[in-house]
Amino acid sequence: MSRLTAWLHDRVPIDPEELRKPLKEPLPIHLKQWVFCLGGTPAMLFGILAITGILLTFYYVPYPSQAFASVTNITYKVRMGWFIRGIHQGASQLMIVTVLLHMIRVFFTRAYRKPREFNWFFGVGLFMLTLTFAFTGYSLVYDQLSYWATTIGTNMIADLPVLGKPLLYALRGGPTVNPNTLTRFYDFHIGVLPMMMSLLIGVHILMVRLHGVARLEGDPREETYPFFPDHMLKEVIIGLLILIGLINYVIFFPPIVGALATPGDTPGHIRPEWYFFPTYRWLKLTTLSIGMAGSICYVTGLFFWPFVDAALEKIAPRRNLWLFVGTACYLVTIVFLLWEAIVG
Amino acid sequence: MNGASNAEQPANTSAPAPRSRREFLADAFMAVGVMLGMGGLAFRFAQYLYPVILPERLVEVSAGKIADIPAGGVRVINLPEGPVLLESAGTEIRAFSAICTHLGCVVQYRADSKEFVCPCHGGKYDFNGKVTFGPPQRPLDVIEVKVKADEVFVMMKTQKEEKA
Repeated sequence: MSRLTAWLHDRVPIDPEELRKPLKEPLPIHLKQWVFCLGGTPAMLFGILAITGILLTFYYVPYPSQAFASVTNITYKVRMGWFIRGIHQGASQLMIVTVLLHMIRVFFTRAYRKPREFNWFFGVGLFMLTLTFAFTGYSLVYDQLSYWATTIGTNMIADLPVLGKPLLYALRGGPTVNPNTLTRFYDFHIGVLPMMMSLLIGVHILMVRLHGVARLEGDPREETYPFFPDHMLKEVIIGLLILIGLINYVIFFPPIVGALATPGDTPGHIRPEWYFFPTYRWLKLTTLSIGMAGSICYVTGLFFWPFVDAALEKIAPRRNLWLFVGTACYLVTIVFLLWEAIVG
Repeated sequence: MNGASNAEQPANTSAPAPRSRREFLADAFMAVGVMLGMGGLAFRFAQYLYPVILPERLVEVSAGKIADIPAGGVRVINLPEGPVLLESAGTEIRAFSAICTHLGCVVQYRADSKEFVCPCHGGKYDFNGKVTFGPPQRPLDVIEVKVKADEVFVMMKTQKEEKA
């Protein structure tokens, strides 16, 4: 031990070997396939979002009369503002894509099964938080899409039994969408949600470490390989490719600003961002109560999927009911998404 | 003999000693106290977040001249209290709230089909405000109209504070 290391060790009495242990964690050999390296990507994107988000707060003003002007200022006047906003916007979309891809991979490899059910809960929680982040994020721009998305999204809550109205008022900071709504959404977006997200990402990773990575069903291979540098290298390559793609996307398609929010005038053919298309289409097809009940059932089913899977297995062993039910749910979601995207 | 063998037995340090009733009650009181304290604090925090909602009241608001409403047609006006649809139906002047009863978007008037269409989820209402298509479950809210001379007034709900 060098003198400097010994000096440091006296003051921070942690065994360096203990710190190196997570890096040396043995991973099952199937993780060498690229499709199994998607888990770290959302965490990296969250880091990019945090940095660009903090930069955006230097110019953004969360008050209705100034919010739109400040976003316009960031986009067209502030030096490199378009780039920072573009990266923030693009990374948020990519984060949803990568979380979805990671979830789909976990789902189809059944890595959520006993004893990893809790980590599936945390994962679904992270997905929900990501969507809430996106919703509160584009509500801050205060253009027509922002305003009407906030109006519709918050009005949906009012339909919940008993707690609906109080929740709506608490979320909006009043009975209608008003200046309080914007400041509350801003608080959620830059304070409450990042705190919850960081905590949940930490717990999610901790649980993976405690249980170890799930072995692939039907894969007899027992070999392992270390997390660092082999697996880490793959994660870094994916991260860099995403970053290159993102930067190029922003350069060729810089962000724009829509029309200023006009509370008395809903523009024709308004619709939310693509990730809310399935819910949007579903709400067009049913009454609000049925729509809300259906959405709550869907999310609840997603949350408790490990137990649904176990129950299906008990009902019909080795019939792969989980695969039929799960695939049907995914297909319905994709059909609704495409339906809304194409027909509008 | 017995005393000697007891003394030779190694003390079992791993098994936890059974908790006495006194210890259990102390822990239980502590837990209840913490829950009440934290619960009270959380309740106050929630109160802080809950906005002050003023009682709703009706106000008479001018909605322009009768002549501004096209005969047999609709005029859409944006009042500070909300958007309103003014209809001229024969000799009668009617008013509806322009807010869709589904999720709160503002409906648009289609003169060719004489119907109101919600641009958000595609809900449709006829000239009388009744739902003809889509997810809305309730007709458009009717607004009371008062005509004084050639001016139209509508009774709007508001939660704004009354001016002194």
